[in-house]
Amino acid sequence: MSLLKNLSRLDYLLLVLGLLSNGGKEIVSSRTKLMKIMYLLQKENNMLVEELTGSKEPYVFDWYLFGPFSVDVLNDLDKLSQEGLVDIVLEEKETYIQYNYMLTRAGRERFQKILKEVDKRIIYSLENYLSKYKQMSASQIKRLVYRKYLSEIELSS
Amino acid sequence: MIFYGITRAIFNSYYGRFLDLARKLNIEELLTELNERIRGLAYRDILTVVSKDTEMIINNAIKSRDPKIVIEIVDKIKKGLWKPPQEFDDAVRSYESGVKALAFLESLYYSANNKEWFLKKVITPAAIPIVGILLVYSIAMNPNDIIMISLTTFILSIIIGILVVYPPESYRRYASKAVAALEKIRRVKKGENYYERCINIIKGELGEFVEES
Repeated sequence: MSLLKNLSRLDYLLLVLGLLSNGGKEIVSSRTKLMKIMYLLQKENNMLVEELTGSKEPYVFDWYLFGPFSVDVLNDLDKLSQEGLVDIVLEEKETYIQYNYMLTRAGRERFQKILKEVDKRIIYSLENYLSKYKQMSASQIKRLVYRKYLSEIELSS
Repeated sequence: MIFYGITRAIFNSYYGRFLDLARKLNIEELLTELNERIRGLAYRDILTVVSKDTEMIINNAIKSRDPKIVIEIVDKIKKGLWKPPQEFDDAVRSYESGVKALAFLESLYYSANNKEWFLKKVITPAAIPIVGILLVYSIAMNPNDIIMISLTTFILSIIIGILVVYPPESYRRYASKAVAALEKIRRVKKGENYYERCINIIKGELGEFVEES
């Protein structure tokens, strides 16, 4: 069984948030971490991303001095929040505000609906892939992205 | 001649590739440009983060239908009490680490350059007297054995050669990474984001130094 139709970008993001939060039971901490995971997912698993969304690169990432960043990911997170699917949980750190995300009840229901729409094999692969990064801190993921992909990307264009 | 040859060979093994790449890239000019550009790139990064934060503030005010929220936040910003998002810290830190990486690469280049200057301007004219002294010393140590005289002179030449051109610890540790960075930069085509790519490559290769410093 494969997908009946491609997921929209918002559903794709919600699916990732759902898998990272153990089906909405946990909080997804750090927007920076989420941003880098979205980047890594596209970079390392583009076939899977294409199967899900119909595009290998649903998000366009630009390289900033602080690494890959896509304003579209932030915009989509805001849209998910505006649609009441995700709660933005602000966490005050010593010098900055950390943005965390939590699926709302409507978000969890939507997530379950997406799970039913998508091939179990794809969900399993995605879940398995995300588990690698789930336990890593934002700074660990940032370092990984930087060391692993910086040169390749910078030289490719 | 042999003494100079030995010293030059040792020098080349430490600095040859690095200096060769640095000159092919016209590194002094490149580093000047990168140092100028990095500020503009950091400004762009920070502005991207700030504008997104501003959008969020306005959206919250619209959502809550309470413009007072915006006034309160602007007041906090004016007083320096508004905490920026995490990406702001990332943008600032990446600027700082970029500046450090560029300065470090520059210091490696000047370290290699100074050694070359020393080799050319001091060691070359002093080579004959140095070998003369070594020869006298070798004869004194082994008065009747020509082979031992030659061997002692040769070994002492190598030891002095190494002492003269031996690089500082930071250079020894990071020269290979600096060479890797320069090799990558050579492969980058000039065009859009050229300087940004160069900065990111230098930061990527010399990141370990930046993290330690």
